[in-house]
Amino acid sequence: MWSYVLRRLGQALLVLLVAFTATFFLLHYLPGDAVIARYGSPQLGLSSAEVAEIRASMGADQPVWTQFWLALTGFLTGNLGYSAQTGASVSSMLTTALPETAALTLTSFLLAVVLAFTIAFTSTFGRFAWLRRVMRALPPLFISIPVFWLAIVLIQIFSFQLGLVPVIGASDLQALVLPSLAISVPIAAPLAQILVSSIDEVRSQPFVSVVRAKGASTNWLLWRNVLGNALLPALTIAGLLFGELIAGAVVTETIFGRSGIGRMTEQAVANRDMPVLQAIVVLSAATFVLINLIVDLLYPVLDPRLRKKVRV
Amino acid sequence: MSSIATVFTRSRKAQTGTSLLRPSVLLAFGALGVTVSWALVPGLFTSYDPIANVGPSLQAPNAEHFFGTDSTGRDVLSRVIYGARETLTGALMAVAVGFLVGTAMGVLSGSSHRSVDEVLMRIVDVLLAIPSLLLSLSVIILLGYGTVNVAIAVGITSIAAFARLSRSQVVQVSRSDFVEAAYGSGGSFGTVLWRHILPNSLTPVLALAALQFGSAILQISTLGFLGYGAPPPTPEWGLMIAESRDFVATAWWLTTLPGLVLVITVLSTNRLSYAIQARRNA
Amino acid sequence: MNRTETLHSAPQSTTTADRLDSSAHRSALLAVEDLSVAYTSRGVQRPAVDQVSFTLDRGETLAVVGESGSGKSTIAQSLIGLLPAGGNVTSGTAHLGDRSADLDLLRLSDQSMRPIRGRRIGLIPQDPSNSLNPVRTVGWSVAEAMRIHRRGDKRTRQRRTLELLERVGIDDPERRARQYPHELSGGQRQRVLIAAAIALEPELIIADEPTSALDVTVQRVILDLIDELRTELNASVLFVTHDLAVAAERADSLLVLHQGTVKERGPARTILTSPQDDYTKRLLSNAPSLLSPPDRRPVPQTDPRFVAVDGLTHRYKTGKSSFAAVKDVSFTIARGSTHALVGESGSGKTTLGRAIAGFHAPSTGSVTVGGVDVASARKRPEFRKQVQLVYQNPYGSLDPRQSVGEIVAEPLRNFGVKDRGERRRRALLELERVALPPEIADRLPRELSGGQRQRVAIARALVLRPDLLVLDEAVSALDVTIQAQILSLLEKLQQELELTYVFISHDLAVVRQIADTVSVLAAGEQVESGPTEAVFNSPEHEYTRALLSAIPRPRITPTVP
Repeated sequence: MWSYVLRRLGQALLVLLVAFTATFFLLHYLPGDAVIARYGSPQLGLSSAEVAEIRASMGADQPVWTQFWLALTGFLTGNLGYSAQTGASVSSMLTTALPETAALTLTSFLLAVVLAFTIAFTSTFGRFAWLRRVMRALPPLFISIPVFWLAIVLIQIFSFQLGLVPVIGASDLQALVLPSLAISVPIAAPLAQILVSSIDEVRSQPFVSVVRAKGASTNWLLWRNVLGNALLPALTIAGLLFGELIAGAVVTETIFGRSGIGRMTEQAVANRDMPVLQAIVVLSAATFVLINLIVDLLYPVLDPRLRKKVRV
Repeated sequence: MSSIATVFTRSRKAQTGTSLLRPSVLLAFGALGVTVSWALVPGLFTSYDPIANVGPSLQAPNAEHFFGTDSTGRDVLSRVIYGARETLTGALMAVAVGFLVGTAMGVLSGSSHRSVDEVLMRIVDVLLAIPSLLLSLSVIILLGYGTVNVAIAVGITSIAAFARLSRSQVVQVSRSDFVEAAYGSGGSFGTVLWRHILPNSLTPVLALAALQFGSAILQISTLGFLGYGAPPPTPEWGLMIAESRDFVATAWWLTTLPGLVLVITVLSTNRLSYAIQARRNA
Repeated sequence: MNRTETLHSAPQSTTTADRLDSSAHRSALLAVEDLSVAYTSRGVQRPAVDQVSFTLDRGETLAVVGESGSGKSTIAQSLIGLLPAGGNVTSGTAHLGDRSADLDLLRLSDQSMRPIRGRRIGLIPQDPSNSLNPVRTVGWSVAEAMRIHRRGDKRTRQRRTLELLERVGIDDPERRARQYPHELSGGQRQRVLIAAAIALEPELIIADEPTSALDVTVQRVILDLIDELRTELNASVLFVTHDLAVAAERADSLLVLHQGTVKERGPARTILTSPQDDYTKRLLSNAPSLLSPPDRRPVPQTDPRFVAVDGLTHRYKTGKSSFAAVKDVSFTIARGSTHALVGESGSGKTTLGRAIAGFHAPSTGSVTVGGVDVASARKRPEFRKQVQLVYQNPYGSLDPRQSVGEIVAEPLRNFGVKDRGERRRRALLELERVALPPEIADRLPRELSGGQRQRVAIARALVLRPDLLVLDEAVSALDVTIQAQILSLLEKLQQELELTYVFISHDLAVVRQIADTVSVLAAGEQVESGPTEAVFNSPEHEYTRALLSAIPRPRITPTVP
């Protein structure tokens, strides 16, 4: 068991190191570095000597490997470098922006899970054939809707047509509703789809007819037999959805003017602010790897068949 | 988007009942046919210039301008029609990048020695670990803004999904009795790979390519919306919606109608992807 | 309780008649009349069961016998109301219990069927490997029916579960009840499923091919258990099987089914001794275990050591540990003869056969074919002209995207026959040799029946004119009548082409029909080897005797026409 955990952990760390190295060197060898982009413009009236001094103060004149080493040890100690745009510490920028994004993404994820389970249950165990068919058509539709468009349509309907959610001066909770709805719809789609197909698959397994032959009702079958078996694939997909949440955050924070990590990303790209972008990329890769590590370690808890394999 | 898209290619059971939905396949073909013809010969469908002022600004949809006009008096429908070329060629390039690189990696990984397999799959792990939007943004920073660069960036985000799927297909097919039987009748590695393994592995990968096409349209328009794609006044769907954001309260058609075209196009490619998949399972 | 009430309310005359009837015979538990079932797919209705009628008496075992597609399982499923999607009962009645209770199983809604399922009808399913919920403990599954029908409190249910597990012969019930299905063997799982089926002491037990996925020795014990429980509970058993010999051994009466219609119905004794219908006769004459051993031609002695297996051991490595699938096996096969490798699952017979066919090199020991060492020759293409393997599963061994003609011609392509016309001519010749019409060459494997596919696989193996064929359970997946055809084809080919066969099988009855010599394998070791008749008539090893006694034998000797 422990050797399995250690091996997975080692794999995760390797992935992160490679991700860090790759982003570092890709961004390092960019034509035109951030310092020149920020301070080199003639309007600022800085002399080339002054620019060079700024470069030196940011460590940009050191050899590549030294810079790499400094950046890596910095990351490990929580010093993520300084924004090339504002000079602010990236760590403190992230700390300020994180709560906003965490609230948004968690709400969206929960909403997506509720949406996905509702779709999955009605489309497999729903009472009417027409309802099941309509529900089955939803995931393919949902996955085809771009978040940015949905967000704008939601504003149109709920803010301007119905006047339910104020555009300006909304409370924290009100301000969460539309963006998280917009993010959750496309995320619910793959989750619902995998739930529907794994419920279908579980239902076609012979043990289900055996349970029915014992006199089980539909509810008994769903809650006590099918669901436990159908959750695993959904868990795998749920782990992969983190990237979609981030993408959703970038788009909706831009549209709704929320100052979170998504907005930070958008601005970092617009300003070619490498240190900020690198920190965001590496940290989200780390979060992704961590989430999927937890998912992997959860499998044996949910499926007794995997416990043995893990032990070997 | 890309790794999750595979969910839709693997859902076999859900697709067995598709015979009832046959009309939807035709409908999808029709819708896609229209968008493709827009991209090929936009001049046949509209007489308006997509970037010229052709009438009073902010007109609601009417008999002259089916989709209305925008803030500078351009015909929205003609911009949507000319925008199809921008979007579809971009998506095609993106899928080509992902398909070619990803499938090559996957097939190599699935049919080579373990050490090669390990290295390639760790690369794929890294690609998967970085959220696709952040990955494409990093690539865009590297390459610069513009239609082609956006397409390449989106293509790179789908490499991992293609590599994983084609690898698992190759591994699965390689284990089947008929492949062993082919070796057993004197076939060399090359002939067996070419004659049996590849043809039997590729259908789901093609289904993924179709699905990825829809996903690429979404990603490209998202990047266009954020302003990293073609510069204004190019008629690109995402950019068009971004430009009309300020008129949300007064001119609903500026965002809603181009968005609907976008959704219908993506939905149609997804529907065709299921049809490919269902044909395989039939 | 209900039954007595209805008895009282029934007219006096019927009750007397019933009593008279039941004093003369056993009373009927289940009366099925004119049952027809059809499957609808893509708007087309296809009948699966056509006007089947039978009665099942209390305490009786009725076997429904038929090959695949006969509709035997469909009958069982429609009685318990669990037809797969698309299946519909189109006519008929099925009365459970006393006639006067008027309980027609076919007319009940799913809701009113629920109290009957599990309580009055118990189901023992076909494949124990996936018939238990994999994420629930064994004890949970056994107690499930009691919980559904709200029988007893938690403590009594627990006690009853342990009782049941003990009754069906599970060792250490308390520990087993806490285990998960994957921790149990196939036989144990089937015992658990039986325990779950009888938990509420049903009057009717439907056993749908309860042993076809199990090894022969286990099969016997499970069938004995079902017999005992039937007597104990005074239940009736509806026993669905493809195996006429098993049916004849276990059932009081038989229902022979072919393509959805009843071919013959009556006491097992009558049907076995004087079958009336042609199809029944054919089934009887094709069932290997009901046949007397054939008159065998003498084993040709041109090359007695054509195949020589010498001290062969094969280890599989899993991480640090290794596991010997075959341990120190030696035997020889004369050219032109058939040698059978017999054993149950996990005996190492397939590993051994694949080593002979050169698909892997043995860890120690050697195999020579025609004097050539397989381990060193196996990588050379020429070796494939000498030895070919035919797989068990004819669905998986043919490339689904190639036409039959391409499949059969492919080995020629590998060996440099460049001319397309020449390849096709020879492929057609080979198809003719395995008795397939030439038009099949343009079809895809999925358009063929199982038997036809296996013929195609044989044709592909033969096209290079090999000397040795390794047949890995090559007839096991086929219905008996098809099996008999393939076996006689193999015999014909052996004589025509002077082929040597290594015949891998778990089925001793089939082996007795076809093999000249036999090796019996158990857990990787060869426990016995020699001429087939000698091994069958005077087995020396205990395991061989156990295997032989597990072959079903009807209580009466059938007269085969």
